[in-house]
Amino acid sequence: MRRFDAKLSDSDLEGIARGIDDNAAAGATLHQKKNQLRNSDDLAITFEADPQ
Amino acid sequence: MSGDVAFAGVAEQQRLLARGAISSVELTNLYLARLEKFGESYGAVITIMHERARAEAKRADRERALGRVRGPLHGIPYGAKDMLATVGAPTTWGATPYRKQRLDFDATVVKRLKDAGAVLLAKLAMIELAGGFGYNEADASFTGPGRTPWDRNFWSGGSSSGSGAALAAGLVAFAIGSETSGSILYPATFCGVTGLRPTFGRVSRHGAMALCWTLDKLGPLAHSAADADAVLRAIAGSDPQDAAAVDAPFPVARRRPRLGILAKGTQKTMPAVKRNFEASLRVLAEFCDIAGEVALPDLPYEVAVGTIVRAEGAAAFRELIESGRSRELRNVNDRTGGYIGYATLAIDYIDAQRQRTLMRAAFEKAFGPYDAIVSPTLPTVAYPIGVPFDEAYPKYPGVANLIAAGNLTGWPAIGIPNGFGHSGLPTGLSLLGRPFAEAKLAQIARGYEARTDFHTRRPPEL
Repeated sequence: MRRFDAKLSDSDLEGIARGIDDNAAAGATLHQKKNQLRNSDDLAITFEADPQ
Repeated sequence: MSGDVAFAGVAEQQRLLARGAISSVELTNLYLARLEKFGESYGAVITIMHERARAEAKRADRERALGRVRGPLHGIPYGAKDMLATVGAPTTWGATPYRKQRLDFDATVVKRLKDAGAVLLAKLAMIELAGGFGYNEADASFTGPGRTPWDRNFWSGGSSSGSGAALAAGLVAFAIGSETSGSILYPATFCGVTGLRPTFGRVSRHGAMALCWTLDKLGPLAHSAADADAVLRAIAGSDPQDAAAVDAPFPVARRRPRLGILAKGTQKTMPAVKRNFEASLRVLAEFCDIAGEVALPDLPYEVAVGTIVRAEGAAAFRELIESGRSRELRNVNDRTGGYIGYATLAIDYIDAQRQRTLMRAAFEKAFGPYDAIVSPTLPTVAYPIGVPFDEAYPKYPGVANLIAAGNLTGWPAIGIPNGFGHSGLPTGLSLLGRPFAEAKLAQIARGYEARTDFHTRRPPEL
C-alpha cells in the first residue's frame, strides 16, 4: 500500500490501517473452528439455482 | 388531473389507460411535474429525462390507439437507479468522479422495459458506487442524502435511495433498484413500499454498474406485490451479455402456503417492529399454515458478505482507487474504503466464497420444507439523517435478519410495509423464498395486502 502514500493523508492512512486490521479479524472469523472449512469445500464460483 | 393517480400503482393506472380515462402523455407529464417539484427535496433524482419520456409516452399512446398494447407496463412511467446505462442521460453511479460519464446504450433492463412499453422518466439518486466502499451515514451521494417522504429528517435507505424515495413520494409509478446486500430491501422498508429482490441470475445486469459480480441483482420497487411481480416478469430472462442470467419459470403456490418464522427474528428489534410483526403473523395465518420457527444456520454471513463486497468492489473500481480519485467521493469512509478492499487477502476472499457453498447447503436443509421464511425486514425504522448508522439505534441491532444470508445464497425475498413506528415511520415484513420462487412470494404478499392497507398509505405531506 505504500505506493499510494502520496495520494493519502496521515489520517487516511490511519483509517486504512484500522480497516486492514478489520480485514484480518474477518479472515480469522472465516477460519474459526465452528466455521471450519474442509479441504474438499469448493468455492461458489458461479451461483447455480435449479429453476423449480 | 388529481395527484392521487400518481400513487395508484401500475395495475390501476393500466385500467385507467385502457378505458381512456388518461393517456400515457398525461400521466408522464404529471410525473415530470412532480419530479421537478419534489425530486430534489427528497434527494431522489439525478436526471429528469423530459424529452425521452415524452417521446416514449407518445409512442405508447399511438400504439394503443392502433390497438397494440404490449402488456401490463404499456404506457406506465418509471424511474431507474442511476447505475443503469441509458441513452440520453449521464450515468453517474451516484459518485462525483463519474458525474459526467455517458454510456450511450440502454442497459438490458431498460431495453426490456422499453420493449414492454414502459416510459423512462428519470435517473434516480443512489449511494455512491452502491455503497461498496463502506459508507457509514446517509450523506453518501453527490446529490446529498435520500430522504424518506414519511419524514424528511430520516434516511430513505440505500443504496437504492432515490428509487425508494421517488416511489413513496409519487414521482414514478415504479422504480428499478439493485441489491448486492440490502440495497432494495432497506429503501423499501424505510420508504414504506414493496421491494422485490430476485434470485441471483433472474435478471440480466448488462449495462448496470458492477460492484460484486457474484452478488449483484436488479429488481423492482413498487406500490404493491402485484406491481412488483409484473415488473419482474418484464425484465427477467437470459441475456447473452450476462452469463449469469437464465430463463426460468415463475411457479406459483397451488396449495395453502407453508411458512416458517425466523427464530429470534424479533430479538433486539424496536418494540413497534416486534408488535407489527406479531400482528402480521396473525394476518398471514388467515391464509397460510405457519409451521413453526426456523433457526438461521449459524454461519458467518456478515463477515463473508463484507469480505466479498470489499474484494470485488476494489477489483471493480481498481482504476479509481489507483488513480487516487476515490478521494473525491462524498462520504469520508468511502474515500479510503477502496484501499481497505484493495488490501483484502486473496485467501480470505476465496474462503468467504467457500463458506457460501456451505451456506447454500445449510439453507436447503433448514428451509427446504417451507414456501417462505417470514421475518421483520429490519430491526428498526429509518435512521436519522446526520447520525452515523452505528449510532442511530444502538439498542436495537437485531439478531437474525436474513439480508446478508439471503444475498450470499442468492435466494429471493420480498419486503412489504406492515405498519408504523416512531415518528410515523414505516416498518417492514419480509418473505424469503427458494430460488426462482419470486411469484410465490408475491402471491403470499398479495394475500397479506388484500387483508391490510399499509401498501396504500401515503406520506402525510403528500
